[in-house]
Amino acid sequence: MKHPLKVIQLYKNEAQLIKKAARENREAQHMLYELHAPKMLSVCRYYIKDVQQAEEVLLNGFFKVFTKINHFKNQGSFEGWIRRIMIREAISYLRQKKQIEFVSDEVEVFDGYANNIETQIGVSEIQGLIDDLPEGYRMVFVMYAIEGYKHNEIASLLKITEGTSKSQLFKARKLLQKQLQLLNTTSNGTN
Amino acid sequence: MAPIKFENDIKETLEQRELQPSANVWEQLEKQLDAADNNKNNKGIWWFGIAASFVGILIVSSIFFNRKGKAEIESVIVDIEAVEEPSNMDELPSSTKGEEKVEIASVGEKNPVETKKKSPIKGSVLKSELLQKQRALVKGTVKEVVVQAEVAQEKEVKEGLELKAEKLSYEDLKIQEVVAQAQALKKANSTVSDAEINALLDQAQKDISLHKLYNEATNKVDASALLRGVEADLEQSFRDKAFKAIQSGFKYVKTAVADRNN
Repeated sequence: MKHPLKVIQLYKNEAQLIKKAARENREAQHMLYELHAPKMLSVCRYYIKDVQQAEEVLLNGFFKVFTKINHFKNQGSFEGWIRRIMIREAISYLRQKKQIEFVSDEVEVFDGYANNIETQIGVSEIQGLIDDLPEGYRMVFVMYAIEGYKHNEIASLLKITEGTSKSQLFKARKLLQKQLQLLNTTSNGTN
Repeated sequence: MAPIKFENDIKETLEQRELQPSANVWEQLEKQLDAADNNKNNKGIWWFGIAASFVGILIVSSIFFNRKGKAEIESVIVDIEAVEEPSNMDELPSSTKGEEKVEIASVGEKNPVETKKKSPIKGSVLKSELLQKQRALVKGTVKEVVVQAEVAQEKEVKEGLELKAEKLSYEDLKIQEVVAQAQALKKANSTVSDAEINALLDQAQKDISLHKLYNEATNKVDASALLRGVEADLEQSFRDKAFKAIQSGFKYVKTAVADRNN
């Protein structure tokens, strides 16, 4: 657990850095970049398979962060604000590359998932599983399961219907469960 | 659709991950930010330049229009000088003559009494103008002007004063006479004072007004002109009388009110 005083100090420091960065202080901008870039590259990587492309998205995202930093009104965390910019940037990047394909057929959605799958696999395997998902599945799954967006928010951001968002999530879950079971089977050697 | 367990596991695992971007990402970002700042500064400079040029145009135009106004005034002055200088060079009294001629002729045509009354005023105006002109222009070149005027005058006299006398009016002759007297004074004293010129002009004015009243050829006095002149005097005296009467009446009433209780 982080020490409360350290958290307050960090917050104060970050607030000061944001103020300085808003005045185009390059050093403050660099410090903010160093503070948040690793996490944000990870976020970009959820959506984009290629690391270099993810870095490109990160670059564009941070450029927007520093040029629009005056729009940040200290409502919510700065990290959350940057994160939203990164997600939008990733969506926009994929849309430009025309890599998003949503399967339009609506499927019956049910909650009958196996909820007892133990995930003993590492982060790289998980990222591998997500990377193997089709673009549309992946985006909806990441936005819903990891970012915590609601279906109506996902629909709005991806310019799809809520039904499509739900069906994409359903298919993504089904695929992932299947892959996880396969992984567990191969790693444990049991069925 | 509630999140299921494996999703939570995935989320927790992925949230802990951090990926260090390559060093050139910041370098590129810095370049882009520098370019953006330059663009912003350039925009600022452009706006500043536009504002500055607008202010500059305003200042220049205001100076230009002010100068134009001055130039117009100056040109008027130059015009007057241009009129005056040749008259001084050729014949000093000619301008005076012309002006006085016009004034007296125009007034004389309308009303002879008015001529009599106004002519001294006009004369004084002319005198003051003449004095100013003389002070401004003649002082420096008085000797040359006088010499040239003398030559011109002598020539005129020699060539035939009689012919001119027929053509010119009495006023013109009088003016020429005044000028001749001024020349004579100039010859005698080498300098002609303003007072002497004034005296000459006053005398000439009086002679002109007398000439209007009394026709020497017929030995007749212009009755209407004389009567109107006298009326003007009477008018003045009647006004004084009336004023005095009112004053005395007021004093009488005042004393009566003051002494009413005695």
